[in-house]
Amino acid sequence: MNEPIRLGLLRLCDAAPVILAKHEGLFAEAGLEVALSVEPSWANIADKLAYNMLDGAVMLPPLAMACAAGLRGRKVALAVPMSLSAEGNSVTLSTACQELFDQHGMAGLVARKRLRLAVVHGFSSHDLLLRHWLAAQGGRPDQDVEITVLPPAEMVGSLAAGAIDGFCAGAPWGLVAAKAGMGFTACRSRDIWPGHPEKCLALQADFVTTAPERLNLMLQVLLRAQRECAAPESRAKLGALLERPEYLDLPADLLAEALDSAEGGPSFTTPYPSVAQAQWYARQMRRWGKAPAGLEDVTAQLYRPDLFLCAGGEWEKDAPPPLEVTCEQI
Amino acid sequence: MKILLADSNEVRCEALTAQLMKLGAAFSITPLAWDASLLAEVERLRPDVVLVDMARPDRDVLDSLPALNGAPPVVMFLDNDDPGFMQQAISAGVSSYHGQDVAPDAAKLVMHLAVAFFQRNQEVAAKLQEVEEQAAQRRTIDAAKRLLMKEERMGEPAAHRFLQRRAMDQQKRLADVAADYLAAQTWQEQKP
Repeated sequence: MNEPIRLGLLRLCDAAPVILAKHEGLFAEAGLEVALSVEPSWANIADKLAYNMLDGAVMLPPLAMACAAGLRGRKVALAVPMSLSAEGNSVTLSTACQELFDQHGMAGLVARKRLRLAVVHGFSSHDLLLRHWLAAQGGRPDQDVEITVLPPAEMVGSLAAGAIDGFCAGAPWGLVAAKAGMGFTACRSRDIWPGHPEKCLALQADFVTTAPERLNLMLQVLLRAQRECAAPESRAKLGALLERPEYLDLPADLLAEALDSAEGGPSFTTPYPSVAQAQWYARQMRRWGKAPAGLEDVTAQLYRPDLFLCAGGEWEKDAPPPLEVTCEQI
Repeated sequence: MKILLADSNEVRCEALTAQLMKLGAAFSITPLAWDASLLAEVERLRPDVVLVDMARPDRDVLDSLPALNGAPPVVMFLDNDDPGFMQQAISAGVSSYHGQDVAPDAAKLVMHLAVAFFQRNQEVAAKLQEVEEQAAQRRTIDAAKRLLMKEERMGEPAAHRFLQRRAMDQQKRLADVAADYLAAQTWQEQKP
């Protein structure tokens, strides 16, 4: 009898495939016992992976890369055999910023008002996409704005309290802010990089080598769960599932709306774990002084499309990363 | 040494503050107010050590500080020689961050104390829960017995034996059989 596979996740819409696989009994059908561990912070996920208290997690690619490179806490051998979601984040600004934004665009707004913007973690796709977006418009993220960190669930409250002027977070938080009349969507992450990889499945490297059969089964289950999550008719069901107090604890209809990928919600159609895409994040981390040289090589070791293909996943053409802004910071 | 303690468990926070005060006059302890922002307080107070309850979602604020802007310098406590201790700390639910210039031994002392404290708190909480569960079971069994005595005109020993026999037959715990009986009786009463 195998020990249950311990998977960590945060309360976010893009954890839907893993939550669905657990609750619809897809793991069990494949003979896998999986225990989900809902964590309050990314730091907890990283620590529990580092000290072998989780076998895997729904993870931010930049944080997985930072952990694998030893940039955050104990260096941990990880493997990413699958991408779990794409897109789904948004840059939300407070309604107080709307007039300036509408008149002058983000560059004009930043030039007129020093903004305090929150992201979910220092090593996150949110942070890197936000920085890229600002830089692409001529902004200097380190000088012109203040980038801070807040838990996703505290974004809307902080916006309302005026503690921040905006945030970049995953679904449903942008929608929650808009519905509450506290903010508006300035930009969706899919408009910054269409098809950008969002959460990945990060596993202990040990698990991958010692349990290859369970790994294959798990990937197959998650592929099936992702297909189900991608179907528009599943959204109501997913909303009802994520509504539970142990997950998002928000109204089901709001969650179903937040899951609409056509409207900027997470997309579950591109599971291929692309090294080239992840390396864009690695270069951005280096660019913003968050990582030393060599992270691209770490990323090439970390991402394991070979495991994905072995499990029956199909290669697909990557959505190409955006052009990198090359002008040096002044 | 300035220590900021961010613990959302009020009782534990108060007790650990008192415990840390005993370290001596060289240590000053500030518990984070429940409505205060962790980041704002770190920026204002510039503590040498921040102890953070791992149940707090705002732990990520500290986790990212060096990556974000470098100041104030916050390093996550790590004991590379003792992964067992790190696992204990995670299980107990406490993490610690400290300034770059804080002596590792001092940071370690505070962390060891905090982990021991969180562990003891966990044990006490588990014990308390166990005692409460036992008391609840006892109450259920007593209620079932009283109902049996009333409805079936049994004496107390007979009612007890009745439940015991049922528990044995059904291979269930006494309290579960009692709960089943109570539920069935209530259901019958509610029938029109």
